[in-house]
Amino acid sequence: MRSRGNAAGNRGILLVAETADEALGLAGLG
Amino acid sequence: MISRARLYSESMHEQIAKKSVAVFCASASGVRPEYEVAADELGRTLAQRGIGLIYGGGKTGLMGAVADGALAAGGHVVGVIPHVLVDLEVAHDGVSELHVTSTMHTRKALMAEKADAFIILPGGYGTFEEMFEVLAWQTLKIHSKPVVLLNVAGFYDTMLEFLDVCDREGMLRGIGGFC
Repeated sequence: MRSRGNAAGNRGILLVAETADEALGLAGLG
Repeated sequence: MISRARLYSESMHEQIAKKSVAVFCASASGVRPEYEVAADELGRTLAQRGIGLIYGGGKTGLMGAVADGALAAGGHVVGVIPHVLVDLEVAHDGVSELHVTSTMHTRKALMAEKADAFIILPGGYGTFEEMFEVLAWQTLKIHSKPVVLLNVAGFYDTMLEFLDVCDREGMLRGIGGFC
């Protein structure tokens, strides 16, 4: 299962969120 | 009494200090109501946190939903749209600022320049192109702004699986083997 906040192995370049709150947190704007 | 110059200065400071997020998404609504609900929620959440929205300037589909959500919550919304789409009358006429660009390329460049981060909602070819461009630019160290995929209802699950394949096959490395 894919972990949140990281598109598996591609070194975290593409962060993955499931809610708006989570997306802003990952963007450093939470 | 506050001078006009001071008011101008404070206004400029607010503009400089304010963070903005560029949202890439569909001009269509898609078949699941969850997509528009998520777009509306993202727009409202940005506004509630005082974060500006930069988006493609459209009034339809998920574009319209994210802009309307932000505007309904009192947010600042900047639309960036090429004149060809203005001519097709798909531009949102209620946004805080509407920048009309000469081409799709200048639209993307302006959005990327003004944003502090990128959030991607469900979309089609245009959304994919925008997302992969900012990812490619990050790999090349042209920028270091966060790129966040908002995977509404698992819309992007199969794309993420494909990116895992690309990574395993060694295709997601930057110049010189690092990224």
